[in-house]
Amino acid sequence: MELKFDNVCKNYGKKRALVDFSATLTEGVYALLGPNGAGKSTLMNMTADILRPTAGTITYNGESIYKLGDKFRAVLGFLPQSAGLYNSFSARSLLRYYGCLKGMDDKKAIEARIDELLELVNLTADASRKAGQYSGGMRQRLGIAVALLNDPKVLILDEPTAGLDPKERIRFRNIISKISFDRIVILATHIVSDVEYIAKDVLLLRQGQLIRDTDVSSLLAEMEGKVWDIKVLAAEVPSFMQKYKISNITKVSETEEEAEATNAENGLTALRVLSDERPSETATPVPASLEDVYLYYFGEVGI
Amino acid sequence: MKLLGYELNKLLLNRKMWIAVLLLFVVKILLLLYTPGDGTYSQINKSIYRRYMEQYQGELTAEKAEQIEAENTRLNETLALESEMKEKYFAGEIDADTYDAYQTELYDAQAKQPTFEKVYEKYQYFLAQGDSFPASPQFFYDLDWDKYLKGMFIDIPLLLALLVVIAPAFAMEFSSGAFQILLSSRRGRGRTYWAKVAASLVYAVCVSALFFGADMLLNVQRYRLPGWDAPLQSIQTFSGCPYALTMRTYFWSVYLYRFLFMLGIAVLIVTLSALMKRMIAICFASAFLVMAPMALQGIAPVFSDLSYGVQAGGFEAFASYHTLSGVGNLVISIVFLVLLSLLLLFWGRFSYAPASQRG
Repeated sequence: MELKFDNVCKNYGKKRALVDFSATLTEGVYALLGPNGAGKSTLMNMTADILRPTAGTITYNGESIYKLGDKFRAVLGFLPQSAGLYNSFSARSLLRYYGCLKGMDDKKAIEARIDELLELVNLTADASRKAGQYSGGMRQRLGIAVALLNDPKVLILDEPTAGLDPKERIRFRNIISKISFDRIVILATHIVSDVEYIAKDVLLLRQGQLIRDTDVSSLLAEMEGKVWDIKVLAAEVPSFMQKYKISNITKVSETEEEAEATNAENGLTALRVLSDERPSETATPVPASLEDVYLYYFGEVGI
Repeated sequence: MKLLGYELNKLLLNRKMWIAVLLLFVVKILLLLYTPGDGTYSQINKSIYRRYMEQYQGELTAEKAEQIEAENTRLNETLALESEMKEKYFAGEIDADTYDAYQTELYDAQAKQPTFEKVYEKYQYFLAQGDSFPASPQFFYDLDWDKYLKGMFIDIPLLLALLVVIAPAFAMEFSSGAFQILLSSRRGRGRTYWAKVAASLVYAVCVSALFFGADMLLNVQRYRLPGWDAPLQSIQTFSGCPYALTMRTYFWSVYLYRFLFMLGIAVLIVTLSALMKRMIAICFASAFLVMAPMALQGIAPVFSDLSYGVQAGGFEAFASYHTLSGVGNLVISIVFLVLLSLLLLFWGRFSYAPASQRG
């Protein structure tokens, strides 16, 4: 199974939303990371055949997805940012409706699939309640069930964990991990930790351009010697922020000696600094996380 | 069929919409009950007119023609003698009893003359048309018919009831983000589009039947219309109609015409919903398309012919002054309406997906 993007471009008037995007995706989870306006939604909408590229081609197993049309849509699952659930429908009737829309005509099969998905997203007990009465997290889980309904081979998820509590996010992560071995999952998120352990590859997009396409361990390895822990006086923090990208700031508990050396108003602060060079002689290198990678590429100095 | 059921559910399961439609129906009933009658015939005495019409009821015969001419002469002569009789009385040429008798006749003539003019005009209209009518026109009490038919205009509460339910058909999918799921689903394009159109039309048929049913029942009750079997050409407005229709057939034709126009308006709204995607834009565009030709009819009559607002009232069907009436504008209008609706529907269909593809 292969989903291939070949020099895909998308322009909105003079604005270039996506520039010469090329990538080949096979089974597994692909994390699409980038700040707002990077072109993630445009790319996903084009993959879902909601937008057409200005130039370039997208092929599924060697055939243009636009020529495949309904055949491609039959293997596609899409969870957009706003899930678009109808408030007057119950979860079960909503899934039946989308089942009908996705061309699932076998009544028994669809009922079995709905039961399975409701169980998967932990909504069995609320299946008869109207979607309008659901919390944000429940709506998001229902949206995930809708996307998985037709057992898609290509699954596109746009911010799927927005609104989920930590327990639900872990549950979702496990679901995606479990189902991704025989399908292509494209997952766009701002919550980097959601994809750190499940993504096969990370695609970093900035201003419509693909700046990195590699696996998580390579990305983390590339960051070796670029993430530093350092303890500084509170008064020194602003000057560090002016010079470096800071991924974390924590007030530290001082030892007696440190407390003697400082005073109450000017205590010690631990900084996690992203820098190609050692920011200070006391700085110690630490292993990078995917969040550090995100900030390294997309963060700004002084924030 | 399954998709149609779901689309109907989506259209109709909103409680707020039902309340709005119910309120509009109440407004419609109140308008039917409390709209004042037409003031066009204020110079005509209805009971005198009714008596004349009952006297001459039916086809125009030679005997009736004689009676009408005699009545016309009597009224004119009586009125013409007024000053002469006064002079004679004051000159002592006639006695008080004779003058009193004349005055009684004069008052009667003065009361009847304005109304009789309408009867005489109708008689002359019958004579002038001769054998050119497909059926012989008849005298019957037609004032309320005229008033009833001329009171027909586009049913505004019904138009709004269509707008509040049908306009969101596509617009709600775009505003909620559901269109992304629809368009990325196997049956989310063509079939969904036609299912939405069909659901809108099913609703339009039901709500139009409800509103027009109430309209018919209350108006027939209010006017107690006579002359159901008289030819349509008995009313001068329809002198140009080339068909042998009775008032009964015409009555049903008008409602069929109004009904079809409302379905046409439903098609217009659902197409605008697919094209414009935003509720406010759809409402403004619908109001503009319905009302703008009415505003322009003063400039050229063709705008009246094209006006949904005027045409959807139904009265225009077969009216003599209608530009298209020479060939029976009901037929032309229906053909025009069907073709226009089909054009709109296919335009909507082909714009629905590619429009979103442009982003």
